[in-house]
Amino acid sequence: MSGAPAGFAEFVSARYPALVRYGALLTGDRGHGEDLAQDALVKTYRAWRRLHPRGDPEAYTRQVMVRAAWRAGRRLWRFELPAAVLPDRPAGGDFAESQSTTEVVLAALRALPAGQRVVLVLRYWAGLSEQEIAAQLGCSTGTVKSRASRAITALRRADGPLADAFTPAGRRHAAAQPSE
Amino acid sequence: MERIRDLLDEAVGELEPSDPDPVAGVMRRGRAVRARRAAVAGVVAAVLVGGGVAGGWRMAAEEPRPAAGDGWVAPHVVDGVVVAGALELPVPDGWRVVVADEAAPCEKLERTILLVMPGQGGCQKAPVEMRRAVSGGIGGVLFGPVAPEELGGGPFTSLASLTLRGGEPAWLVNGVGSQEPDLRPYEGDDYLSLLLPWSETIIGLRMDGAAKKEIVDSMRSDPSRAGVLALPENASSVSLTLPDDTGRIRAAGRIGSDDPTTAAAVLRLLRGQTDVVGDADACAGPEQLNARLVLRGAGSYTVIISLGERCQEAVSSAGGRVRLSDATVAELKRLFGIATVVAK
Repeated sequence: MSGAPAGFAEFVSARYPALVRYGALLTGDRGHGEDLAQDALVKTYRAWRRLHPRGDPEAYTRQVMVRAAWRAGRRLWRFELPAAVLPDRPAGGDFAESQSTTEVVLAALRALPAGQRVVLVLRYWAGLSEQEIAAQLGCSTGTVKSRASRAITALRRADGPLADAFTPAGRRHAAAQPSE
Repeated sequence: MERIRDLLDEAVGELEPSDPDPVAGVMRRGRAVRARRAAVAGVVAAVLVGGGVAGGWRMAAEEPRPAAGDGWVAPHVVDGVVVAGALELPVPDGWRVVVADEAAPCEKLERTILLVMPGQGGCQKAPVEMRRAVSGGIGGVLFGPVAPEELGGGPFTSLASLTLRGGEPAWLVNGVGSQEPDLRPYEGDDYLSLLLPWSETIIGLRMDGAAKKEIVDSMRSDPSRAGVLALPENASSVSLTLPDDTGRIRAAGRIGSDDPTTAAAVLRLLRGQTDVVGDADACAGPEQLNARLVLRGAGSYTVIISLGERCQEAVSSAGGRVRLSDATVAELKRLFGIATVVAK
């Protein structure tokens, strides 16, 4: 594409879908996730001379995304969607059958404060250690631990949308059976 | 917690972007950002020119720095605030911002923040001056170890550290290489030189002590370099300057080593420090004594260790800030063969 420096178009074309998915997790919304990814890629574009060919543009882009999402916990952020309460728990039956997993999980993520959501995604999806997350976010490991713990607690809440996901399969099926 | 990962994977696994041409989308967005910034810059410049500003500004760069090779960002003005890296200095009421001009006559500009761009020295002076910190390599050789030939046999001081509001570390470099400790930055009318290693910026303050404190207290920062200490991959030499309890650095407190085993052990010790101090928790203050550690490898890195029971933390010039235990400091001394450093 005209105007794009060498290698940039190829990088975006190849990694864009993965970055949008990452953005969706960090924001809890597919549209805002795509916005987040595009905004980060603008910054990657501006830093491209320093990132290509010897740098790691994807790591840089993800870092920009994480920091933008993390900052949402500290100030009003245009990607942040207000959600005072967790969305309704899907009505009975198997979790996977009741509603699109994408919708339920993204809604549950969206209901978390931004800081908790970012830590949750980094810890349990990206698989980073608490120390690595603290280093990336510039906070203490104590902050990481507490945010992760609160996020998990919120997701496991008995009346939360993901409660069934934390329930052992046997109990889940038993609970779904009508009583005699 | 595998279930969480599976759920998250499942949630976005099938998700497809809606933009069919993301490259064009990103380019469009970039152009829109530039246009917005140019419009804002025009307004800011118009306001500031009215107040006596000269020179061109760059708008704030919000993106974090790539881990290596990221350059210095020239100080610029946004909405009445001078931005230099992670530092924000509100322009005091009635003050102006001027870009240094080599061709300008030698004069002391009153109520002025003077921005000295690289290669634009000149002889203008101002109560507040901002310039790029000299950096000679990867990670920033902000200042080196005190070489024995520079010492002249006398005691040399440590330096003082500040933590600006928001968490940016600032090092008072007046005292480096001088004979007397300079741990009271806001006393006297002397020129105060404040080095912001993460923003690669030096701020010079020429004013009385109270005014200096007022300016420093007005500074805000939003650093992006906290985390574990950024260190060279390998170090060929290490040196430590450690003050006695009066702040003076005597011969027993100045140790250098080219021994690869020692250098590797020091690196290992520092890399093992993972108790990251977040920006909000940083606490190094000018009342503390500091040890200065310089590691030379592919580039040189300075690590300043603020000593004491209350707030013992290490900051690397290239980024990162961690809390150190007494045991770690003791181990560092042991690696350098320093038993105790006492005043005499």
